[in-house]
Amino acid sequence: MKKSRAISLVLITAALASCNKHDPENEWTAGDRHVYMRSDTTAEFSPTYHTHMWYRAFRPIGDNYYGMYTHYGYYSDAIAEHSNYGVNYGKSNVIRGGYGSGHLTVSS
Amino acid sequence: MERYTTPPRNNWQQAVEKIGFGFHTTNVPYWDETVYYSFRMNEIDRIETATATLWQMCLQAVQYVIDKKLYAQFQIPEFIIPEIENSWNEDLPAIYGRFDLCYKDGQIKMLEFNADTPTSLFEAAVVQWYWLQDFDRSKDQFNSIHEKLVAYWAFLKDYLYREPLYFACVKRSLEDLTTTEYMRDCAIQAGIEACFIFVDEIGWDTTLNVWVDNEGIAMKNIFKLYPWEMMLAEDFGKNIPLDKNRSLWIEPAWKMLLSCKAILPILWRLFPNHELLLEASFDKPFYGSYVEKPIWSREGNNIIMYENGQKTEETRGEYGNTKTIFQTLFTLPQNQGKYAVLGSWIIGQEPAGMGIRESDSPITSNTSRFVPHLIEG
Repeated sequence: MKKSRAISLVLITAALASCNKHDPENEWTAGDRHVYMRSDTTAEFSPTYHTHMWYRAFRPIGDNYYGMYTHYGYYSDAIAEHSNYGVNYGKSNVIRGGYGSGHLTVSS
Repeated sequence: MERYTTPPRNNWQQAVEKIGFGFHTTNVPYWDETVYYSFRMNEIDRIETATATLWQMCLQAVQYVIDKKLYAQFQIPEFIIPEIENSWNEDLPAIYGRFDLCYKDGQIKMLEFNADTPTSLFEAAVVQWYWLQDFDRSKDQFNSIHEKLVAYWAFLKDYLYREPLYFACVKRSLEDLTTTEYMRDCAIQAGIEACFIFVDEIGWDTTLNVWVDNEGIAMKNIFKLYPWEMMLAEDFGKNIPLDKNRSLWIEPAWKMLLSCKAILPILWRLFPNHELLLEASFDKPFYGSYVEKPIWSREGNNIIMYENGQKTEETRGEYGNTKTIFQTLFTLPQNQGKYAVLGSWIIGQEPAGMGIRESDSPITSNTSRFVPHLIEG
């Protein structure tokens, strides 16, 4: 027999499938009530836009400097970049975004 | 190898979505179960043996490139060479690759090797397996990819740092996300603590010179569905040699030698006239039928096909300024106007299964469809 005897998946893969339902950009209309939010208390407020990547809720960001963890806030791809990263001094030693620029897929 | 048409399952969209396959249809159909290919067991045995042989040849080719320091032919920047050599000499963890094969008239020929970021993994391992359960579960399939992935992650566990393994891919690609999450699924089943991060969220701590996650916690084990050549070309690329933790990147840096099409002329030089290879060179042939391929390209971009010296097919893309190699033309088998390429998987050190992509043109591209297969008898 050349095939797997059984296949079971432990992650919520059905949720992945739900990501492909519709284009969220089309939901944004002039009549909508806008939600203004910020993820970092030192950052600016910004209007949100809808997003549907299922686990792209707020993710904690912080700093683990020499074993001392400091929690700064949350990161979310659903809001503008400048609303994610404020001016908190402790975060200045970490830079992000150095990978992943411009490539929508890496299929091969 | 025979091609058959068949009615799709009535509820096929729901059936594949239930198992997490959300990109079955984009602008054009991607998953196509109105067609399947049937193989005899002796054919599968030959494909399996060919895959194992090619894998061993590729390993010898990597050693040759490193010994002869042929990095310039691969356009690999100097700063990453120590990382390539170190990852090879220390045999750092690697898990998978996919050979693209042409199977025609009883011959098997290697077209290229997707050794760094091969996709269609989930479709090959899971989606076509479930299709066969519904279609005819008594039939066999060349597909133990899932079992071998779980088993090989369990084997690799002892070779990772005793810390979480991060899985990273680009945003806004459901295909890449699904492949990455499937890999993470297999690692979790192997008992590995596995986290997820998007590649553009990866942080570089400029004080400690280490890679960090969203919470500033050092990442020492990183599976990335993100090609080495892109990593090296971007802002963070030059940080890799500075990394104080010497983080493990999976696939490791030496795999970029095999995912580069410059390996094709090297293989031909080492194994001239080998039955599984097509003649390949860095120089344009004076005559004959051949294919010109950029050494770094994806999804059939910027391929030019020549027959008797005349250009017959050409694809567009973003790799037009890249150095090219030339490979003897061996057209994919055509059946009812469709061209099929076999993707034969290596998991760990073993052949593990196969997926088939079918196209309307002789060049496989991102609009090619994934079609299932089975083994008769």
